[in-house]
Amino acid sequence: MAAQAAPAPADDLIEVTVDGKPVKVPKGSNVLQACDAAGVDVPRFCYHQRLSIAGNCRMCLVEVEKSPKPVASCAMPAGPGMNIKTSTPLVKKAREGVMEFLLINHPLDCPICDQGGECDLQDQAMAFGSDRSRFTEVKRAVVDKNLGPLVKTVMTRCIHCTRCVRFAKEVAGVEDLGMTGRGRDSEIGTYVERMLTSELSANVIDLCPVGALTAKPSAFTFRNWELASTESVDVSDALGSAIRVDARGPEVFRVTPRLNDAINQEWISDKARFQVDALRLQRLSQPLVRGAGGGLEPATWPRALAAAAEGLARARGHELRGVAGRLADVESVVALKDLLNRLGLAGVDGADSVLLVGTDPRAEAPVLNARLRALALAGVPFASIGAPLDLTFPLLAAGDVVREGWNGFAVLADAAGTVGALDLGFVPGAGARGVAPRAVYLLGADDYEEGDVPADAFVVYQGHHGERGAARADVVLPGAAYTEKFGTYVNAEGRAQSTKAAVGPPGAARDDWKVLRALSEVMGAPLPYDTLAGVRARLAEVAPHLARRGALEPPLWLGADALGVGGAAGKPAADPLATRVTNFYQTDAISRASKTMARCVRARQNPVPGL
Amino acid sequence: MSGVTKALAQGLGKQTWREAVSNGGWKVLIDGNLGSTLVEHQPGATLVGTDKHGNRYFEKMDTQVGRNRWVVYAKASDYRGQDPANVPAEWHGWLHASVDVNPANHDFTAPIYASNIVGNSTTTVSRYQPKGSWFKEHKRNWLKYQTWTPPKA
Repeated sequence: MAAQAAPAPADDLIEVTVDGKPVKVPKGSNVLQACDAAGVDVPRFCYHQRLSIAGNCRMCLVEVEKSPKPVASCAMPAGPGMNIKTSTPLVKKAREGVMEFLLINHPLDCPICDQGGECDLQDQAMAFGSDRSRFTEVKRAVVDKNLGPLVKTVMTRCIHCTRCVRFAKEVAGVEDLGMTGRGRDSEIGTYVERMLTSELSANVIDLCPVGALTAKPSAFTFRNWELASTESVDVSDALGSAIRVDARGPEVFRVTPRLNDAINQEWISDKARFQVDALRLQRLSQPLVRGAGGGLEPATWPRALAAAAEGLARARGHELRGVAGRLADVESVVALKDLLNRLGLAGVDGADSVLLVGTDPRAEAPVLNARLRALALAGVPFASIGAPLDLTFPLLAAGDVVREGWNGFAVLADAAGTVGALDLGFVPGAGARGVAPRAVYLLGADDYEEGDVPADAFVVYQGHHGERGAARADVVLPGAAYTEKFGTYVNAEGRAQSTKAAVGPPGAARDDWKVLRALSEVMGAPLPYDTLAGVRARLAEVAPHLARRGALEPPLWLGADALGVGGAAGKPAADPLATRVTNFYQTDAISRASKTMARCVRARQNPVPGL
Repeated sequence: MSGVTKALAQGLGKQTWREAVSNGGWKVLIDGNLGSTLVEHQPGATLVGTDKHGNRYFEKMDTQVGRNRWVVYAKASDYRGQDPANVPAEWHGWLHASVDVNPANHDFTAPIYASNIVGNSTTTVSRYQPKGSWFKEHKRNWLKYQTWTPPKA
């Protein structure tokens, strides 16, 4: 991205002095960036490095030599030889004055505010606030706005930094938010009552420096100092955004974005952030075996493994089939592949392995869409083949984009587990085609094709949420969700990243590769690894690039052989090219179990309440 | 002395003071309220009536105004039994001279909104617990997840 340019050459640098310390910054930097480069902390509310500069909070006032007044450092370009002072009595007095004005209309409700403990205003009031107020008049009150099921508003707390307005307009690309009124009467709102119609809307919660915009689903459920953070990777789409999973005890309460300039910058989609309520709903917490009465009944692990082994052993050769689901990590996929191969099989079947040309990145990976939008606004032409789309930025005709010698082929997978399974060669073997399976192993697969699982087949389902797959299964083996295991996922670019366990799996559920390892022991074909390190060593044998975490690798399965380039030309399809993701909020077992996502779907059907 | 022992025996419904002491009357030594109830008021009082809990109501018109009607609780020998919350509404009215009719002889119809008198449940298992109390049933369930229920076959 443009914001992360290579280090500027020396003649593009200027030297300024911050608090007597000389520092070199690129031309075009502002004074605040120069202070940051010098390691001097300047308080701010409205300035954000990924948004345009508003300069309206006035908190970042600094003193510049030869300037008669303090200057707002975010809005002042740094000039060569500028002498900036940030710790003079003048600066302190100016910031104290700004803080006093901000606190005039800010309510004193920190004890009941969800932002308490992680509030910029609270922190900076400790440094620049007075211990008593000179304000004896009545504080203003502002009517709260309804921004939909995700963002809770307490607009009396708003200090009008306009970060949310600029984010909606510049990054999310929706002109839903704006400011009305002047002075004391100014209000942030949606002009008419209307929800935020962006898939990135909840990022305004992180941007808001006060408690005006907070998370509605988790309102009043935790304090930030009670949470333990784990740095992990999102699996709600194939982008693999960097996230931080915050948990208290055995419960995941919050997911927030982590900085990763190569993937998600510092945004995540609403689904990645708010599907976590489903991690405590509809969980498979104990093994289930189909009993004599025809219903699934709780069983012990030894009994369930024995039942699964017995059922799977009935299938011969290609009659045994494995289906990996959308959320399968590569450790469990490689364990499943190894297990099936050890049982004397040649072919397995990978689910969801579709190359999408007609794609809707707004629904499949909204954070990626925000980055494409930034490129589009920077002048890069975009076009779409397939169904008409609203991507929040203009699209050209395909003929204007594709030029001679153009090499721009990339595939946007629609699920987190897809690329990893394909990288491992988890694709149908030649011998498996046309053979009806007698036993099917569903590895978290709830979106399998009806034809893959015949009505008379013996089905083992291993996963974390009870849904279509578990209801069909004869034996259910409970596994771990992405916040409960150390699992590698390959994102759509081919970047192998690992999730980390923030909490433990519920009840008797276990890590997915451990379940497969135990099953292999019962079936008399033990897998040769006992530890996570052993599984990853095996992964490195099968697909060496999966051992290099965070590195970008071209997908192995996207070579000329896989695409059949040079072969006979295919017939054009009759259906228009369109994305398979018709409902952004509910794409996999976790998001379909989430009550918050269900509320989002209902709200999207009626974005303007009362109409 | 004989007046005191007689009052103690009468108050506890016993024939002799020895019997009264062995049935809990000794507690007047550590519970002034009990002693006051049994000993101070008892001689010469009229038993006006008994309510459904067994509390007995006395009257003695020649004593000080405001102290001429009183109740001896059914479980008077136990300090936890001396519970004003056990006094029914009609007897409460009589005790506080709100009404002058004798509830024992009067057909008192409870209003439709009157709740059943159960007394004070402090220190018992049925006492009030606030919403977040660990003694609430749902709070004692430590599971933080909800297990999937398979569909019925």
